[in-house]
Amino acid sequence: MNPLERSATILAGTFAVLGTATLAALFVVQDTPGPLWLWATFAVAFVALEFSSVEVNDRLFVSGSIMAAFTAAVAFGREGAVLAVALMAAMAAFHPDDLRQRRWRQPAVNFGQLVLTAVVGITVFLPFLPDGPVKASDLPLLAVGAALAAAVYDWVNFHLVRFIVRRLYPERTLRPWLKMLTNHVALAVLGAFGGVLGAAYVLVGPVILPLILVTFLVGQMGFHSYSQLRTAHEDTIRGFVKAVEALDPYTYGHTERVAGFARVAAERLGFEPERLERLRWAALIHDVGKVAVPSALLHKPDSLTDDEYRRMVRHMRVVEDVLAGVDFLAPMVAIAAAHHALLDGSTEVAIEGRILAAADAFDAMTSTRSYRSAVTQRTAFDQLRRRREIYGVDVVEALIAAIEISGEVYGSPEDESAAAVERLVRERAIRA
Amino acid sequence: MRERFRLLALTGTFGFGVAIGVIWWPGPMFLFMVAGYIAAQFFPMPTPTRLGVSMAPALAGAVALTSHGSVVLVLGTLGTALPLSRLLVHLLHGRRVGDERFPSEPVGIGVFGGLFAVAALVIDGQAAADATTLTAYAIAAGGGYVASSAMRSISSGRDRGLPRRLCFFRALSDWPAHAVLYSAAALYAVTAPVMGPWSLLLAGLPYAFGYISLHRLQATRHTLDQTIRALGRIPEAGGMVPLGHAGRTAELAVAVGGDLGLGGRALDRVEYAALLHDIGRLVLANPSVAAGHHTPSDVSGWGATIIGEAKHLAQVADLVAVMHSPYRRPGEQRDPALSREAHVVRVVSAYDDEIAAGRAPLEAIETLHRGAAYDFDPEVVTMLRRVLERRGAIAA
Repeated sequence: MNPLERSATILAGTFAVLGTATLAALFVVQDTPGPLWLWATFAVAFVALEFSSVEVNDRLFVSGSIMAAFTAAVAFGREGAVLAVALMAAMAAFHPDDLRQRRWRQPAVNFGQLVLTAVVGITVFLPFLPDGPVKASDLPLLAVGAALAAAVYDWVNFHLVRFIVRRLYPERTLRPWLKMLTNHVALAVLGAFGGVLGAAYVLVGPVILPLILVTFLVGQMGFHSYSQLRTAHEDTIRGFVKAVEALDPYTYGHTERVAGFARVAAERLGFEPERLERLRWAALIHDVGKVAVPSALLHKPDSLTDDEYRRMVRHMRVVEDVLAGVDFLAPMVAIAAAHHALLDGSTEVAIEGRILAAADAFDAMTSTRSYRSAVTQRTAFDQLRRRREIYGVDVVEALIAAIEISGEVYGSPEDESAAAVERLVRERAIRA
Repeated sequence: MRERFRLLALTGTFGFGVAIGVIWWPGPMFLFMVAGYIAAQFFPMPTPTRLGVSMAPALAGAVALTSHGSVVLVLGTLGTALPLSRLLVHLLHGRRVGDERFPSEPVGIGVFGGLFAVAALVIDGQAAADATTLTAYAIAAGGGYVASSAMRSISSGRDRGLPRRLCFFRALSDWPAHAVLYSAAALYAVTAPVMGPWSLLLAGLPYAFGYISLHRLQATRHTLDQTIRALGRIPEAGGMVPLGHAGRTAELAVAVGGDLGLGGRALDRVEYAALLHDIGRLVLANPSVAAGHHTPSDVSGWGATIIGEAKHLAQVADLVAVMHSPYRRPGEQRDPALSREAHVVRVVSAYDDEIAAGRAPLEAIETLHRGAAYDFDPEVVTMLRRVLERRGAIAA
């Protein structure tokens, strides 16, 4: 057993013991949830919602299981709420994929994590639950209490996940898990709704459950379809970009590399996820316009004359105008167009356009083309610094620092003359 | 003339609604419901077909359940508010009074109100929170939804020159919006007696969840459509295909496919294939390819490869791959592997090429008739002719 496996086994065992001990203690201090059919209904809803988180915004996934937890807490009352929800959470630890692949460590860790999270979250909610039967006048307190407890539930969940990831993968970035923090408000609202829903169940009866179910199923279905269409849309553009790249084997992979360089530079500059996403799309489409450029121009072995360059830009603008007609792509096309404008000498270009231009120039210099070979990474860095007035000092230094930190080395091991590189940087706008 | 008639009808219905409302249900509640219907017109629920459904079904559902199925109250508020709101939309936004939503919405809600009123007579005295009442409500809501879809198919079929059957099935695909609206209304009506204003929150949150999800779905579908249209126009931007060819081919191909009885998904495939069928020409931007020998089938193959890069367009890629295969070769039977969908795109694209070459519609269709039986599917050519006749492009 290697050290990582040993660490994972110890962690899984610890969490499994903690979860089991907590449940055993709850069986002593809490009432057994009943009737069984009611607990089973809530458990099925909880597990189904936990397994089918939906993408509510750009790669922001939310699970509605927290709502089912607080609905159940109100329905079972102060004496049985914690045990009922902890048992529901325990069921959600066993994902069919883990069972199919005979993974036991992950379900064990999830079991402990989910039980502990549920226990803390619902215990915070207990003081807000009325002693006797729920009345309409209890609703404000239940809603506020459930929102607060849901925020605690989410906070505990996040920190347990972070602890587990840090223990198992010390070198892995926590960036994907940090996104969980942006869900706080949505989960607090869902928690409050769950509390009110639980009260409605107690006050009105089970007849409201199918009504809630229909609305949420439609919503869930809508978000699922949205997610699928989003992927389809991305696939469509990626497929097209790949096809465009395939026209010139020398530029194959260029857009993906430019998107990668632009991303690491923008991350160092503190871009938030939405701006990063926009920049990524701009990088993916920045060269699409060349499909309309006559091949004689695109593949001319010598430097272009001013007139030829203007013709080439004109052809590219036609395609950019077509893509700008897509509402979603319009801001990205603007960034791509700005990066071309920068290379044409414009000085009023937004930072996204300058990042894209710098990333584009770096990849062009460090890649071999039909008309010349790649330069070394050091030469490319020097050239970027020489043109810092154009790209911006912050952009150039961010890109260089990000590439150096990554440890990757791009370009040729051999150097080229400064004059040749200068020419390439000037021409690279469209011919990359 | 038709617009003036609609304005007159609206005014008449408005007077009728006011009369019923004032006589039978005076007071602030009536005014509140009227205001609600008017506001509902300005916040339509997004739908997959992008036509939207106003919140009027939700308000009608809430009125029906809280008034224990009083058809008078439903008709009163509807008769007042729907015409008034349409007039306001007309005045404020300059939209046509008789757009696709106008005739379908009152009919749908009217059928719902009528069915629920009949059910209320049978289950007299039952509370809104009773399972029998809610079952009757669900059946009435289903009836209203089917009726509004049928009305919508009549108006959109007439306005767009598409078969009504196709429009009906497309309208039915808006069921998620109807389900959310009627469910949220029932949730409000069932919980209002015991929860008071909190019932608005209880109904509002699932409604908001449904609204946001459908809004995102509609926006993303629109973006995907826009993107595919834009990609289809890129060969035109590069001067490889006549301007507007992809868009015209897609529009006509959908109409022909609809007349041939193709279903919703098949028509989506036809539309996308028609938009993207020339994308393989981009490969000709590579000088080594352009200099060599290539056939239309090669171009189709390249196009299919490009389209196939997107997994969800795999079936569209299959259509484009075979679209230049002839209907049949001399001495052979028709190839059953070639789908009707591919032939629709092939025939309509060829027709548009003839038009772009300067031929009159009749002359272009005659050229296709001459190629029928070998190059083009005769049934598709006949159907194209029928569509053109219906649109007045050629004499019947």
